[in-house]
Amino acid sequence: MLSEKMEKEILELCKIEGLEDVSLFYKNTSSVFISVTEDKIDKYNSSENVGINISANIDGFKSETYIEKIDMDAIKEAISNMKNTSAINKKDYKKLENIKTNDCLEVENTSYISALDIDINQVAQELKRCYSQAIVLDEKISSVPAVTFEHHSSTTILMRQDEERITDTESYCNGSIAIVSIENGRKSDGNAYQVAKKFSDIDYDDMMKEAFNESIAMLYAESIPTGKYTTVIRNNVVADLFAFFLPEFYQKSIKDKISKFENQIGEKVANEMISIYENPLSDQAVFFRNYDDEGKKTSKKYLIEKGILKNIVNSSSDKTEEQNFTANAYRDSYKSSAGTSLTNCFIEGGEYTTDEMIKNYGDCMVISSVDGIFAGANTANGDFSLISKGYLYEGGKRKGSVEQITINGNFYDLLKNIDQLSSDRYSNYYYGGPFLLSPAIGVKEFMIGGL
Amino acid sequence: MISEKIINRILEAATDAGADFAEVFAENKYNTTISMNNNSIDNGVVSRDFGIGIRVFFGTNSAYTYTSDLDEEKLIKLTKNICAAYKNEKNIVIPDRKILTGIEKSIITAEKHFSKIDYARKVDLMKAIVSSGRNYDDAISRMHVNYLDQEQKVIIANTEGLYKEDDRYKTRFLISAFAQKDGDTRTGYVGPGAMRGFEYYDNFDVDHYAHEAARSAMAMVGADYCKAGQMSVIIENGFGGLMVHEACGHSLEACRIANNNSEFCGKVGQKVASDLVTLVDDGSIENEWGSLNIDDEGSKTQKNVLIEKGVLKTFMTDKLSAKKLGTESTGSGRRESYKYAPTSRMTNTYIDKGESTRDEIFSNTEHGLYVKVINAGSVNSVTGEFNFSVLESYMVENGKITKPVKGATLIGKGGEVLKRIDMVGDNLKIGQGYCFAESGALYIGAGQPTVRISNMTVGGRD
Repeated sequence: MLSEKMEKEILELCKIEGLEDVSLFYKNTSSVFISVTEDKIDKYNSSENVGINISANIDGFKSETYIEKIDMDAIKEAISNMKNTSAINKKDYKKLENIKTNDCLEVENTSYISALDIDINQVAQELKRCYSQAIVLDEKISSVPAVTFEHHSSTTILMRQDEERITDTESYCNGSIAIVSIENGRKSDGNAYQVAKKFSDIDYDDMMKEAFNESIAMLYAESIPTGKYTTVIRNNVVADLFAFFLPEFYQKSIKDKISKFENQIGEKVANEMISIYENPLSDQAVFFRNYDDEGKKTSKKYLIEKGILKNIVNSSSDKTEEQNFTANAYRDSYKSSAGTSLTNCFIEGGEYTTDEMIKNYGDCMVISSVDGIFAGANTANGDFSLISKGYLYEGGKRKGSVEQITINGNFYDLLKNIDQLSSDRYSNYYYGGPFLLSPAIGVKEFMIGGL
Repeated sequence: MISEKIINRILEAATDAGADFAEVFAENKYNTTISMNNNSIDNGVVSRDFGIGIRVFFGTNSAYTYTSDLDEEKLIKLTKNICAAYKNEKNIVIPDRKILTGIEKSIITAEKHFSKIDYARKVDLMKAIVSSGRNYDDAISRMHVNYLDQEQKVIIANTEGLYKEDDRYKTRFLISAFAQKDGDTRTGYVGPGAMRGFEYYDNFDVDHYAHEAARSAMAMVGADYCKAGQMSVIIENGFGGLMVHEACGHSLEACRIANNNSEFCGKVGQKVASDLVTLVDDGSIENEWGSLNIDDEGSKTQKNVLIEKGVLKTFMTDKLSAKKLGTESTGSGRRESYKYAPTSRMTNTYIDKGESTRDEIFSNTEHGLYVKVINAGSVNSVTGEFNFSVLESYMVENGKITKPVKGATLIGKGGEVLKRIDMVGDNLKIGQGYCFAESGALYIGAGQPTVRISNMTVGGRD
């Protein structure tokens, strides 16, 4: 953690050098990662890291940089770099309202756990137990390449000259297991992943079962003819896909002419069963932010409510004069500028379980996993075409497993064409993106590419 | 950056705690990153990364930690902490630690250091690209240009007595053009870069790159969606080589082989591809974007022939994988920064040139898809299943390129696709890109001549 003495010295030096309205944003992050295979700890990583982002008003222009080595020489170099770039970048400085002017009630993060407090021996024992059970589940299992656990914790501090500082703490963990099966020279793998608040919330037995079932089933998978199928997309796949397209709700995407939600607030953009909201203070998710990274108090808000577009989120970098701040200014890290981002997002569930949805449809394709979203989906137009695996059902019963297919569509069309939502939901989070809890969806006439 | 005395203390603390190998990676990196949206700078930052990564081996298992704090006692404490994770594991035989013997500097000197070039000159180049792209056609609604440069100084030392210093200079533009017509938006993209100083831009053809991005976007806007199905696929030379990068390159990284996690395990000496395929990974190509003088474990980079005339010859190996497999490092240990432990990764990977001309490849294709620009891809190395999105593609009918088609993806299994390559051109070219995997985002070269794959599954909308 940066000492208060160092904070003061940085601010003092900035002042001497003529920088005004100096903000210091810093993140103290800790993480542990442990991976077990062949009944041994295969990898163990641990880190404690701090970096500082410095931003200021230099002659009416906003300028910023970051430092990792925290000493006065590094700070002097940083100030010099800020001065050299500000007049050329010509980013107009917009003074932000004071931190904590809203007199809002702060919520305490009672679920915070520091990565430094993780009992590595306890974790290692559980991962080894899981490995030992998984490797003997079936004679077709050739390896269990990794059973993993990872815990991240961070303290985010924002302070400005002559203002009160604000602090938020966050922590989350994830676990995963991969199982590889082989039969007649054909290999297939099954993977399972869970995000949770603490180690004891991760159900390794459940993941083991999921990975095992997929690994075995996919040994016999085949492709299917290209065509339109009634399709159930499992909650984990929907979470992956929708999390990728959440930037369509950002004002920056509208400004850049990428999002098709421009001037659509109040309009019907999805089937009326669809409601998506953000809650930065959910104790069931990854983020826990009383304030965004520009010091604004956060709140729960709907993006889509019963099919109607309710909010486009913004930050000072893209907000128009007509819009109110939505408190969605976030940085991926101290290295990046504050841009617009969502935190914890939730798609509300439906009436039936995924299994009941499949039974109701009778004949359908079930998509159980997709790969390569960053390659096969495009936020510039909403198109996606993704390599997928799944199962074919006839009369509500599983007929066989399917691979070497693509699911093809468009995010905006999909919002309108969703026919059913499941009650069971799955949480997705990859570092740097929003968290999303999502149900499975049913879609009729869904394009699948295959043979 | 960090004294030899402190390095020695870290290495000693690790071996005292039972590690049979320890390594220190120290990094001091000057960065310029500028992002320009039309003529307005979204972000422009000059910064410095600084940190130390410490890695230890206990047999074939490893632990890693990093920090930006140079405090000697803290570094020792961190070292002891990661070693403590293995205190209950099986006993390890510890070899004698070798004394660090002199500094070996392997420095590629840039003529023009980025830190000495005016920031305004970099911005002027970007403005010229934006202007050139916007002038290409009225339908080009937006040009987005990212510039980056890096001067990375590293020290790598380990308990085998290695102590090396290296300076790396990298620079690159990422140029995107957005074409809009009748509600359809398409993107064209080019990303020229090199392992050089700012002299790379002395003869940089701004119009060529800006127009190429704009042309590609214009070619696709308003195109019909590609039909899904199976067909022959011709992939253009240059960054089309991303197909082999994903389809089999990752599966040939020794970290996956050592963990029995690749479709190529146990297949050295076997036929794994068509006779026409010779696949190379070469991190020593002068000035190439994916090149390094030494890898991130201090081993000299080299040309590795992975597949020769269809026969699997070797894998790309880092130190830990080499230890697991009982082989030597091939200079393939790479990491994004001190925040990542290195592992075996690609450098510049390409299919070597063949004998067919580009014209012969087209004229011998009755029906298929011509992929002019690949966008990005991914692979499941266990099964070899891969997918690519395509940025620019056309139908080929009766030996001729006919209409443009958008939204195509290519899927398949690496091992199967390698066997279906039935024509290889004589026009080898290497493109520049990034690869994201467990040791971070790395700059890589991907290349090939124009190649044809006899039958591939193409994903599309109709």
